[in-house]
Amino acid sequence: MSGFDPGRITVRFSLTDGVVTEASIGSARPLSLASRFAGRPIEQAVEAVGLVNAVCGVSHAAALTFAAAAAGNRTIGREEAERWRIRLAAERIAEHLRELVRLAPVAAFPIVRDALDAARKAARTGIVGDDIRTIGTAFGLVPDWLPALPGHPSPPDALTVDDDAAVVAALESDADFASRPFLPGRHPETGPAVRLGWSASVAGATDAARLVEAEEALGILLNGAGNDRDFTAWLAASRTQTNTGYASVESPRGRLYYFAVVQGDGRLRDARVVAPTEWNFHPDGPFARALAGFRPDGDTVTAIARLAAQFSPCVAVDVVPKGPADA
Amino acid sequence: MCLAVPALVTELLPDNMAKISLDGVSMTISVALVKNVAVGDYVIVHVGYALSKVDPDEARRTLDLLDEARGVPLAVGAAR
Repeated sequence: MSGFDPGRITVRFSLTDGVVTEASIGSARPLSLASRFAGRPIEQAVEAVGLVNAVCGVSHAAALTFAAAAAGNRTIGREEAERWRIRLAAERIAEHLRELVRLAPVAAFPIVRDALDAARKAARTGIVGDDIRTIGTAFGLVPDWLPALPGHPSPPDALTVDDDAAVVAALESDADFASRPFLPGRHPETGPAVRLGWSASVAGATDAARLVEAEEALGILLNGAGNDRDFTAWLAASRTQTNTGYASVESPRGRLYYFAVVQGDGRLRDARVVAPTEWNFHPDGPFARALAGFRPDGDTVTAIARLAAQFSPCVAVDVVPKGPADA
Repeated sequence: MCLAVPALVTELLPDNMAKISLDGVSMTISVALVKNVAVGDYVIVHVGYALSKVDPDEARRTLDLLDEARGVPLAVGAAR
């Protein structure tokens, strides 16, 4: 495999009478490659982070673009911002649909393939073509694949734009914050489910949220980004001090932070990135708390791995029993 | 972090499956979610599925960036 180890999350658990009574989360995930592109002109660094991130590459590129612009006190024009909005919306459609398709019958694959192709093209170019109609056709099939949701629970602790100042201050003062982010007294969750007021720990919530969000994103493509003024719901950016700035982007997987330092000649000096996974899989984060008292249905290891996938489908998770698993 | 390491499609198999060469390692993946995949194409792979096709120039640029970031050349089929 690649010499770039994407890292793993290790979950160790104890089970008593069919209930998880103790669990610990360990992470061996590498930090973002963004800092490796220090010294490059910003435009090249933006292209680089977009290319090397297989999932959410548009979100990474948008975050660095807006963070660097804020650092350099440069205003991004309306046309450019709208193009990013189209690209982010199209990326969200593609990523959500690709996750939802695992629920689909094989017969639906050709329709989904056309829809994915159209969404990826718009994500790459920022241009909406006539082929986006295929996306609506695919969405029409999805409800049949989704399980029913239980009643709406109380809203979980969500990571939002209101947290940006605290997150960025911590990230600016301590580069290690990126690997284990926390907010005092909080256990914030991020991702599609919590954006709609659910926790990913509620069975079916993540997939239901993916469909809702993907349909909303399709509305942006159909109606034009300029008709939806609330870009801050997707992306926020600000300068922190001379030549430094940040951007937070609601990527398909959750809130993504880029903190950038830009040299006077327009080159990237440093970049720090907090990915959604680090919040959700913090040792005292939402996944760890969802595990406490979790009653696996069927094989315990498989059930815990499935629960983890609801918080992030991107990360490899090893599930290891501490004692005899009695499921 | 899900790295986009381009993989070279080396053989098409039945049922929308394909063999790829990824960093010098041969493996079998699904290409069910990507249109018109052919031998010689480069694809981005994630959890056993091809996510998208990339043109050879983009594949080469991505591999160069990854080389630069880790300091050791990747070996992916004819792209090197």
